[in-house]
Amino acid sequence: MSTRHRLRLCHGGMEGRALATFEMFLKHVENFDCELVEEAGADIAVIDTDNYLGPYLVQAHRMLFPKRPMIHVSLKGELARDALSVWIEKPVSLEKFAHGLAQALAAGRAPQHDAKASGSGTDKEAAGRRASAIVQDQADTRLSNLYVGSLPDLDPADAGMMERAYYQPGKYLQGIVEEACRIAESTDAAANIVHGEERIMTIRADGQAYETSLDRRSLRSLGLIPLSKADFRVVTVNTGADANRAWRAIAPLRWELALWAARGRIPTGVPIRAPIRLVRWPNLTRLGLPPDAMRIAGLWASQARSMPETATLLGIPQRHVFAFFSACRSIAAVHCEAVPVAPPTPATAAPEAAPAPKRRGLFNRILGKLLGNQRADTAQDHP
Amino acid sequence: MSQYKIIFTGPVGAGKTTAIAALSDIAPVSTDAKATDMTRDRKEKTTVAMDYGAMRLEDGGTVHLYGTPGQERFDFMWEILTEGGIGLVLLIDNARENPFSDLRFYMEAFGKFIRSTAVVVGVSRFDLKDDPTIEAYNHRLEAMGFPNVPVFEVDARDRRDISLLVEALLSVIDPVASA
Ligand SMILES: Nc1nc2c(ncn2[C@@H]2O[C@H](COP(=O)(O)OP(=O)(O)OP(=O)(O)O)[C@@H](O)[C@H]2O)c(=O)[nH]1
Ligand SMILES: [Mg+2]
Repeated sequence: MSTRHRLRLCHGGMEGRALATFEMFLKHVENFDCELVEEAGADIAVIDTDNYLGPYLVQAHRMLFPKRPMIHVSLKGELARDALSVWIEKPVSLEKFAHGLAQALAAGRAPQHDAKASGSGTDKEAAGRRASAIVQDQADTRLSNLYVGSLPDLDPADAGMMERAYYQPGKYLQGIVEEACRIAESTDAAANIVHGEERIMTIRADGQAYETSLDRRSLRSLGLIPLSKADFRVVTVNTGADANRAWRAIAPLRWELALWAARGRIPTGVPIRAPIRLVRWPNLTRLGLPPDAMRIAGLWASQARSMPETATLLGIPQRHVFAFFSACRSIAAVHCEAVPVAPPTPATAAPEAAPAPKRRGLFNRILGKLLGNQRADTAQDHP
Repeated sequence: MSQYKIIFTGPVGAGKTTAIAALSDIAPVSTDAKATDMTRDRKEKTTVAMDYGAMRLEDGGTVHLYGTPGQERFDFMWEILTEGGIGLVLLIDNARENPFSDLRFYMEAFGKFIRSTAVVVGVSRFDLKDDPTIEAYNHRLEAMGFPNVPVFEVDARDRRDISLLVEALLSVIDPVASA
C-alpha cells in the first residue's frame, strides 16, 4: 500500500448541499487524506467557478494567497488560470480529483511561482521595528494580509512614489455601494445592486441598511478586487416589498468594504500632508479591526496629525494608518484639516512624542497581556 | 514593583462584576450580597462594597481592577476607590429605563476624576435593546462637554469586548506610549 498524503483544503463557490456532498466525496479520494480547513491554513484551494461569482472568488483568493495552488472545478474550464492553478472538468470523478490534487501539488512545488511572492519582507521589517508589540504582530499576520495589504512605507516628499498610496473607491464594490446609498437616499426608494441577472444586495430607502443573500466570503471577494463597472447596475425598486427584509446596519459594511478595497491605501484626492482629526470614535468592538486602530484613534482624538507623521510617531507601518483612515472616512469618522503652508515639523521633534520610559513599558505589558489572550479571536474572520 | 489601577463603574447590573472577572487573572473578589429592595426585581445578586480583580504582568507588575458598587447609596466608596487610578471604564446598561440619565449621573459624579485622567464608555446589554444607538451616545457626551470619548458596544461576558475597551482607555491616556 502506498503512503497517503495528508492535505488541507479550503473551498469556495460551494455551499449547502454541494458542500456537504463535497465533504463526503473527500473521504473516498485515493492516495490523499483530505481535510477541509479554514482558508488561512489550507495547502490547496478548491473553487467551484461555475457560479457568476467564480471569477471574483478566484481573483480574490489569489490576491490573498499568491502562492497557493488552486483547483478550478467547472463545466467548461473557460476561466483564465495561472501557473499555480489546474482545472478539473465536471462531473468530477474520484480519479480525476486525485489526479488534479497531484497536479496542483506539483505546480505548488515548481520554482517559478516564487516570483509572485509579495509583502512578506516588509511585514517582517515592520515586526522588527515594533519589537515591543510582538504579540500584536503575531495576532495580525492574517489580518494584515486581509486589511492592510503589503504596501511598503513611502516617502511623502516624493509625489511620484506617493501615487502608489492611492486607490479609487469608485472602482470597487465600496464605490458601487456608496453610489447605491446616494441613489436610494435621493430617490427615497430602495436600490438593488445587480450583476447580470443576479441581485447582489438591496440598500434600504434611507441608505442606512442593506440586505444580501451573499455569504461573507463572496462579499469579500467582490469587495477586494477592482470591478468592471459595466458589469454592475444600480436599480431602484418598489419599497412596498421591503418591509420584511432582514436589514442590517450599513456602517459596518461600508467600513469593511473600505478596508478590503483600500488594503492599506487611501482614496484618491486625500492630501497626504493634511492633518487628520478623529470626529468620533468608531464602534470598534463591532467593526473589522485593522492593526493599531486603537492607538491611531487615540492619537487623532487628541491631536490632528498627518498620516506619515502618525506612522512615525507611533512607530508603525504607514499602511496601518492608511487602512484605518480609509475605513474611518467611509463612515465619516475623520476630518482632514487644511494642509499647513509651512512644511510640518518632523514628528520626531514633537515634544509630546516622548513618553516617560516607565509608562511606555507599562502599556506594553498591559497590551501584551490583553492581546495575548485574545490572539485567537483576532486571527478569526469577523462574523 | 509597578502597581496601577483602573476603575469600573456604572449602574446596577451593567456588568462591572462580570467584566472584572473576565479580565482578572486571580479569582475576583466580589462583595456581592442578595439583592434587596430597589434592585431585587432586576437581579439576584448585587455588589455591596466593591469588586476587585488583578491582571498580572510578565515582569511581576500588577494592574488592579476595581469595581464600584452600582447602588447609589454606596457612593461614599467612589472617592476612595478612584484614588490613584489611571482611568475610568464606565459601563452603561442599554436595557435600563433611561440609560442617558445614567450616563449623565456617572459622568458628573466622576467628572473631576475623568477630567484629570481618561474615560471610556461600554454600552452593555445591546443584545437586549439596541436603542439608543452608539452614535446617540457620541452626541449626548459631546453635548455634555465630553467630546471624543470612546463609546463601544460591549457584552460584559465577552473578554474580547472588555479587552478592547481597556485598550481604548490606554490609547486615550497615551496613544504614543501604548505599544
Ligand atoms: N444579555 C446580556 N447580559 C449581560 C451583558 N453584560 C452582562 N450581562 C449579565 O448581566 C448580569 C449582571 O452583571 P453584573 O456583572 O453582576 O453587574 P454589576 O454591574 O456588577 O451589578 P451590581 O453589582 O449590582 O452593580 C450578569 O448576569 C451578566 O452575565 C450583556 O451585554 N448582555
Ligand atoms: Mg457587581
